Amino acid sequence: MLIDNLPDEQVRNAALDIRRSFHLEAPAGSGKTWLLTGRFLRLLAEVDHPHEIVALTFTNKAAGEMRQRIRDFLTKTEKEEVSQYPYEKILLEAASAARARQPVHRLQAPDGLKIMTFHGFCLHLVQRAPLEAFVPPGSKVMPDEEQRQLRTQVAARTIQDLLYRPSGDSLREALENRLLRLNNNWVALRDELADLLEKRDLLDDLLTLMGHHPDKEQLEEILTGRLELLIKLRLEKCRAAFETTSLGSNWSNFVSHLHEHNADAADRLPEILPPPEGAKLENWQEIATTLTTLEGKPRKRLGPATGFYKGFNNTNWAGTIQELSPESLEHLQNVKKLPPLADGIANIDTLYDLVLVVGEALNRYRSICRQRRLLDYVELEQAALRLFDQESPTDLQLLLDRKIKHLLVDEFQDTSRSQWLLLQHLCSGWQTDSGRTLFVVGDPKQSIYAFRKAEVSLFMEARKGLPLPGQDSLPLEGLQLLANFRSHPHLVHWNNEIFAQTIMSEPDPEADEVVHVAAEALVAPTPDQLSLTLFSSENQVNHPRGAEAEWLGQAVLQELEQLSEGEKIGILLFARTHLPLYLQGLQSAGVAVRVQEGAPLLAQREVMHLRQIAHALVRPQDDLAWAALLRAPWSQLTLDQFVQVASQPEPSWLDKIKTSKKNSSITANVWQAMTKARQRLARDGLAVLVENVWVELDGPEAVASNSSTAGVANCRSYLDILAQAEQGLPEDTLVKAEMLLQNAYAPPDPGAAPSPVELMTVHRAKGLEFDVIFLPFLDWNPLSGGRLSQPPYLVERLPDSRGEHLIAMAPDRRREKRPGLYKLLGDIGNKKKLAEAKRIFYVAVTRARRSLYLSGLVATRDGELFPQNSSPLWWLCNHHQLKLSENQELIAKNNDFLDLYFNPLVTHRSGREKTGIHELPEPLPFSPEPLPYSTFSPSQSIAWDQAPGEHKDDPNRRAKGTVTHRIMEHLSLGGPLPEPVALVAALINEGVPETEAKPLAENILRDVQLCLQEEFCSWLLKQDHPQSYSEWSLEDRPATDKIRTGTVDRIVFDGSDWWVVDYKTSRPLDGESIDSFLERECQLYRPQLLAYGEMVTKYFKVDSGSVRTVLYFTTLQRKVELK
Amino acid sequence: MKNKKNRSSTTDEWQQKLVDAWQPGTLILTSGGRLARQLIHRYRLQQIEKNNESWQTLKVRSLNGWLNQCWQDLWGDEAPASSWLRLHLWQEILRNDPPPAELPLDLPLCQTLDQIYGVLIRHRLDPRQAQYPSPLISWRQHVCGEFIATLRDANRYHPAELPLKIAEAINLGRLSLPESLILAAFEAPAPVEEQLFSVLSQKADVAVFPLPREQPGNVQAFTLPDQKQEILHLGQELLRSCQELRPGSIGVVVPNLDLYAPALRRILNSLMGQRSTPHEESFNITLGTPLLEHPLAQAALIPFKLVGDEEKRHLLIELLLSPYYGAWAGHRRQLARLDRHWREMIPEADLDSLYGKAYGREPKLVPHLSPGGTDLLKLLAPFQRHSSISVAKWIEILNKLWMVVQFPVLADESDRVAYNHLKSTLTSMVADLGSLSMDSHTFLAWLRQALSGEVFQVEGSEDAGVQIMGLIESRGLTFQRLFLVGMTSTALPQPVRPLPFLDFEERRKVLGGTLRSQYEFAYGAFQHLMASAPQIILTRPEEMEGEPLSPTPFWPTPWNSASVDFWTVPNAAWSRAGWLSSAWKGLITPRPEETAADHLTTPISFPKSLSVSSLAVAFKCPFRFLIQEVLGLKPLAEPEGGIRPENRGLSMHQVLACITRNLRPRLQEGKLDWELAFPSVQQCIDTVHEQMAAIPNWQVERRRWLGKEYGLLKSWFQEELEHLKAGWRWLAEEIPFEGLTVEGWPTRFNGRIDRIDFHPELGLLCWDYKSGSSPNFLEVFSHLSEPQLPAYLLAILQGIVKLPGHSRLHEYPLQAGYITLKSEKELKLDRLRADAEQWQGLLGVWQKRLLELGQQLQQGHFHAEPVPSAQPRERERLCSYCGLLTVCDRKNLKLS
Ligand code: SF4
Repeated sequence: MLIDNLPDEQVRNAALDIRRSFHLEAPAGSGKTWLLTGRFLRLLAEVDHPHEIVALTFTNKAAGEMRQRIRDFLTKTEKEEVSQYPYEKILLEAASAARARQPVHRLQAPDGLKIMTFHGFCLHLVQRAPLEAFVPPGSKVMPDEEQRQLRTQVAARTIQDLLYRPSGDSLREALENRLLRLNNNWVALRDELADLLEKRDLLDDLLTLMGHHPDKEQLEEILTGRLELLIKLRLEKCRAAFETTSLGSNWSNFVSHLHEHNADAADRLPEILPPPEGAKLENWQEIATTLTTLEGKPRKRLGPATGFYKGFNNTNWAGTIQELSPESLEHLQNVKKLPPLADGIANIDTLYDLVLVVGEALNRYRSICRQRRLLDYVELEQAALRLFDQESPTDLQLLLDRKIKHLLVDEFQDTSRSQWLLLQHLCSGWQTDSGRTLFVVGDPKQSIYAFRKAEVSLFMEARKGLPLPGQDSLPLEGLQLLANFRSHPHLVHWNNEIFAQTIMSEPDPEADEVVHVAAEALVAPTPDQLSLTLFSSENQVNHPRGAEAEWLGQAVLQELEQLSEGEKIGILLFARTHLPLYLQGLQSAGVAVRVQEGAPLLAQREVMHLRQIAHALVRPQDDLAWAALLRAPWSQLTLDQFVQVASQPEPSWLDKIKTSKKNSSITANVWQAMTKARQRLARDGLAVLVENVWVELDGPEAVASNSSTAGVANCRSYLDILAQAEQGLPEDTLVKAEMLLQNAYAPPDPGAAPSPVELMTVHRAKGLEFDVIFLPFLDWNPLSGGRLSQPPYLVERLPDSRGEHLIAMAPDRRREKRPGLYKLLGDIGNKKKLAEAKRIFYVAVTRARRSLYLSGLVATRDGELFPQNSSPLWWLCNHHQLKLSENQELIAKNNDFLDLYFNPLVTHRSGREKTGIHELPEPLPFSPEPLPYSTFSPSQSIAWDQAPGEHKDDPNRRAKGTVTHRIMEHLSLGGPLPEPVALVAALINEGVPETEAKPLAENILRDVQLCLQEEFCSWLLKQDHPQSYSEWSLEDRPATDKIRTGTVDRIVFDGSDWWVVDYKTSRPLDGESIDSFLERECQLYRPQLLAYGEMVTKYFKVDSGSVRTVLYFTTLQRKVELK
Repeated sequence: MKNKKNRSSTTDEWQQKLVDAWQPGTLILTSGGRLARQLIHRYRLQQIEKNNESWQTLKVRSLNGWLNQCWQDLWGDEAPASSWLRLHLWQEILRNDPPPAELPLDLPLCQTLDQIYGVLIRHRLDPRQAQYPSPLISWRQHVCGEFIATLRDANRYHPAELPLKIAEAINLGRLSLPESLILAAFEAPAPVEEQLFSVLSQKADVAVFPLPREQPGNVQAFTLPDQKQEILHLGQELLRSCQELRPGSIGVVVPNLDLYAPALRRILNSLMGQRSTPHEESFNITLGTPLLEHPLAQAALIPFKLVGDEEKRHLLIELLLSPYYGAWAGHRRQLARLDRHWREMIPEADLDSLYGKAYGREPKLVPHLSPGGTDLLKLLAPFQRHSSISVAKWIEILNKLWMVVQFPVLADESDRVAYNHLKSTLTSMVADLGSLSMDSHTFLAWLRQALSGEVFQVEGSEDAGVQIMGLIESRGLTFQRLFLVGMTSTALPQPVRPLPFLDFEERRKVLGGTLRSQYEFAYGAFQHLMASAPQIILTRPEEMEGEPLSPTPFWPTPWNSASVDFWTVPNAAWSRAGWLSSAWKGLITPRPEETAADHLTTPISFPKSLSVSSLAVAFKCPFRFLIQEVLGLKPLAEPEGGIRPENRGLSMHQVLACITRNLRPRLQEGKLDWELAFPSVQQCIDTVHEQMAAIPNWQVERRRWLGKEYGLLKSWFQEELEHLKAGWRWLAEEIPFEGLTVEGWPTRFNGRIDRIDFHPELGLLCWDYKSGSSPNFLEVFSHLSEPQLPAYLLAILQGIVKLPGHSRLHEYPLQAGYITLKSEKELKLDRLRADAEQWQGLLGVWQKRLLELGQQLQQGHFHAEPVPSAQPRERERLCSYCGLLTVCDRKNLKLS
């Protein structure tokens, strides 16, 4: 045995068997990480190449952690570390075997180990085979904000363009219908389209369905058929449950009894229990409404008003109604909610309108993405799936270099349908015992990412094996871990109780509810705290939520006093919207708290003001932004002064401020800082300019003074966003920054950096653990919120079906209430939301190691508690049967662990003293470094701009000069005269258009040939001089900090004189005489030539009298010696 | 500066040996230009130290530079194909052989192919051959074949082929070589270079100077929590290092420089300040900016974008306000105000309608829109062209436009350099593509491509200031202290390149195509870096976007964790940052905030007359009343699609007024139903909508009001019929009044009552139409937050509401209500279920409230606290729609 003494030791040992495929259920704190690491390392020691193993995760964080852990073990074995702990030993052994098996570069290269997110893996595939994936090569995944912005832009553009199509155009018609259904709310339509673009993979079900049934009537028939099926399913269940009750089994007698007594209901109720068919729905609904109340409870008032007769209440039949089983009651209630068949798929035309418009938006979106080589997550997943969709499936071996032989999937409960499909494709063709394994691990109770399209039902489905295209499923052995290494025993026991007995008891498969399996605590008990504190929601004195927040602050403070070194406190929130409230409570208690993603940055006071600087700079027409400059914390113009500025006659506030600058120093400062920045606007980055204005107005000082380090950090974040948004054009930059700002949150307060207290959402806390957890807002209603209050359509999978869906269109906003089917599907969706809320609660409470503080608001009446329906508190109240005693204390029937408090008096402790505020040390000195020397060349001394327009407009002038010089050099080295065609090539290379190169080449060649015939030049180019140099580079030092560099065209020593020659290819201006041309040129080039002469004199250490400086004009074949 | 230590590194010694080995007649070839320049610099310093007056320049060239020169010396008849020409050729080839799977046939695809072609050639692989051709690779093989043939026909070659061409020429003795050659720092030569070197060594005296390698020695390594912290840390450590060392001797090598450069530049600017003279330097980041990103280039492209698909208003304003366009200087602020009108338009507005609006609202400003008297629209017209003209012609048009609009106004060195690059880019476009014809869209695509390919650097010197660079440029350089930044396992080695155009076998042979090659390349580079400075500091972020990162495998341990916390541990380096020292002052001595921010000490003079809706604002929030109604300050309208709510409301009011007015005679005749009313309703809509009839958004609105079988107005009409059945009659509509006096208010109010109905027994009923939601009974009677209807009744009571033929309105019993026309579902005629007496009572309470409010305002109390009686949620809702938050600066508001 590898691992002993654990309740699930066999399971753990089995999970490390790398020859078998498994489906492992690993609850919170059960140590699945260790198993994954162990399995990966063992595989590494077996495979030929690490790329045969692929481990998939859902977040970069998880992938990074797994990679890091494996690398750590590999590094440890490199250093031959040993461990006394058996668990570590196993991993070290595996790591050392892996190192022995694989060359170092495979293990160490960044992509040597394929541990990646699903998206990362998709990108990897798609980049390798862009064509097969139908994606332009080099495509990149857009950042989240950009995806959002692009979708909104495309949606807006689509609406605009379609509206302008000629009337009668079918797309325009569809769009108008859509707009009308939304009561001509343009923004609602834009948002609806943008949202559908984001969820287009879900839309695929719909599109496929419609694609298969282009005929509207046929589609309507199919959809109605599905509704009928659903009705039938529900009726079957209802009938089965109802028949088992004594009323159900004696139904005919019951109805006869009513007939005998002339009760009204007798005429409405069927004589015998109707069969479970759509056509009989009305009968069933009649039964349900006759017997039960609106809320689904058995009717108590059974008299003529409710269809019975006077005295019925005293009969045994009345008793049978009261005794209806909870199950049958629930089913009867469900039946009531079923829409009549006729109501079915309300308006098929509406569905077609929607699909037409979305289809158009989608085409545009895709085409823009392709043009810009951008991918969003949906496209990425679909592109990867396309690789397997080919007629001849892509050869994975070619694609990935190696065949994948082993797959590991972490957090499998978060799999979405496209990921599920991808997995099936990857394992396609795999057989048991083929040496290939699939290892999926997760915890269905921790599936909380439905908003990212996770479907927990897939985890359950995978227990039956992974379905493979065109073959039998790949069987997976089911394993279940039981040990909990994280939490204190009391916590584990309490969790086991509440989840198994109440929250997750009787899971409803239709709502994807999951089963709870009890965990066994392995941690030694230490002092702990498990408490529930409730506040009356009717508190009239204080804001009730304020009371809870205040209590939270103080309770955290108290825990802080007892916290040991290295321990951490986590405050977890169900929703981001709760954040500002509790943060305020914590801050007023003086608790330093780290918030990774705080409240929206845009809502921070200092950021609002800083943003106005940017607006005012970019938009002089924005009067409000200009006015706001005067009211920022760093300006603080009094209202009187402000009104005075406002009363200036100028129409714009910019000018009002300008005029008022003499009246107040604040206005003058604002004007001055803004003017300075405006002078550089559009040339320097906006972030820099805004920062300059802010600093110049002592903004940081004012912000720090009002909102301490947190406020300054918020401002820095805004400036970072501005810098990130920089586009080169101020308005573009501002628009982009505003877009980024929409999704930006306040950064952690740097002043709270060392604090052990962290505040975050439950979602963010997944995968983390804390010694102490505070979980406020237990009265959270999971059904509130949501982005689109009324999505344009709802789709739900038919229960017990194979991928068949029901569709319901949202009501026409102009006139409809919610139609039945839409409501029904909405209810199914809500049930799923509730099921997820239970899992969110599970995740939250299982983050705690030692202590858990729960709190929330509750309404009370006559000692009864009325918690918010379907909230975590509601579950707890049900489980513990909580009540209020006479002296307003909470009492529970069923409670071994929780300490209970109701409206506790908050004792105020003094918070943390502000520490660490010292004088700022003197700044370190720094001054830019002087250059050791400056370089210049004699040709720089020529005053080009003052020279007359000597063929300046000839764009080929420079090319001609360069090529002529090169020929001269070539000739001087003994080379032959180049061919004309070579000259053409050289000119083209110098940027001369091909058409102009040929005549120019001829021209140059003619000049050079003439030069060769000229006496001085032919002498100059000879190679038999005592000394000669061409294109010779020299440097000298005319001053200590200056270096002069020069390249002389030709130097010839004839035995007595040194000839320093510079070629000139210019020629006289039109109408200019040769003499005056030569004079002008000599004057121009004299300093350059004399400098060359000087350099040569110095270098060869010769008498300056022997150095002769000459300009040689190739176009005139004339030399001029400069004295 | 203090005593600046100098210790040499192995690379330093290597460089010295290299320079020592040089003598006239020798040529040093380096793998990159930066090393060549450092060698020249070293040589010069040496000359200065020897006090030499004059010397021959050290002959050192980068390989590429030398190869080009060799090609020139050969005087061959082929010219290298410029990148323009190559892109053009690819485009032509692809036009005939379109890419499979409908890949977009665009310049980036051409560029990718060109790069792939270059990679294959450099690795001596035939682009026409592949062992495992997938459809994409088969296509590549084919188009590469075409490309080769086309190049050959045009007498051109691809620059990647140059080393082989030169090797061949040397082999054939067609090139004269220097007396001796030194090959320096060629660590990972591509196969073409290997071939060249082997030929060279056969034909000349070649000495090879491989870079020294070292195992890590004096190394310190730090992890920082994230990249941001790493950059902060680097900034402060550089500043500290500058206390001991000459800045120019401090190097920073960052493998992923583009990820670090922008933030690093900002941090160093705030710590070191920007240089003030061209003869000194603080730091030098070797990462040029693509010309496309320069603001001047961005400004230059506006005219093209303005006629493209993009939003016109925004771009027009961008053009008018851009300082690069001199034509509008002096008028910019006035022109900007046009935007206030433009923002009220629906976004599909084209340039013509923007102009039209400007004419309508601010005719005086319009002449300023025409630079030099030329209508801007005319100037831009050529850019709208869809037919093709030559590139040369395009550039001519562009130049002409620039002349008229006085582009560009240059402000500094950066602008000048950018403009020169822009000019030379255009010149080379003319040279290479001048005769090519294209439409404006394609021309813009080429221009963007050109500008993004043109990378340039404005500032920075390699001889002074801290030297910051990427891995490749650092090859062979030497420093006193070296910072290696971002040393994570994903940066060094780099991940394998995807190379989709290469097959399995080709990827194996190409640098960067396999794990091994990436690893070995990086390992070599790391060892060279270890030799390049006596002191080395490694840093890396612990995580990036939440993903934990491992260290580079070349330095697995030990790493010490560090962090920058200038708030709790103030440090002298950060004291230099202006924002921090300012913030610090605030932390140590908090300054008091002004308290009575919403109180005026000098009474304000109210306007003589205000509308009743201003009164409503005063009730909702006194501060907002002051700012918005008295001072007239409003937020800039946010342009959005669809019909603006205020326009929708206005036209709805007009249509309803028209309908009741027209139908009143029919009513008196006593016969009215929808069929009879319909033509009149239709006519009213047509009249009111006459201006908007062509706008599709309004056409939809018309359908909403008057759908095929039903519509909002039909439902409304049915409700009205019920109302009429109860004995009410439409008396008048849109009844204006003026001079409403309210006790306690120095101002008089005016307004317009939407409709008044009359009932012989019940008296008068005053209606307010609402195209959105209406206030409810509670809001009017209990919260007293909706003063509009009470004010109307008050006006009637004061006898200032005049109706022809009805002189004593105020003597009738009075009632009021809202007609909600949000949708058919929410349509109602809501008489607020109160009788005339209740209304009387209410008016009494109202007048008291108005008196109080009036007095409070006159005393200067303009509380920034909306509807004190309403719920906190309601207050926050009001504030989030108000837009004046930054002026009222209301504290304690938690907007989520
Ligand atoms: S933001 Fe709120 S408090 Fe400020 S003016 Fe507007 S409504 Fe009044």
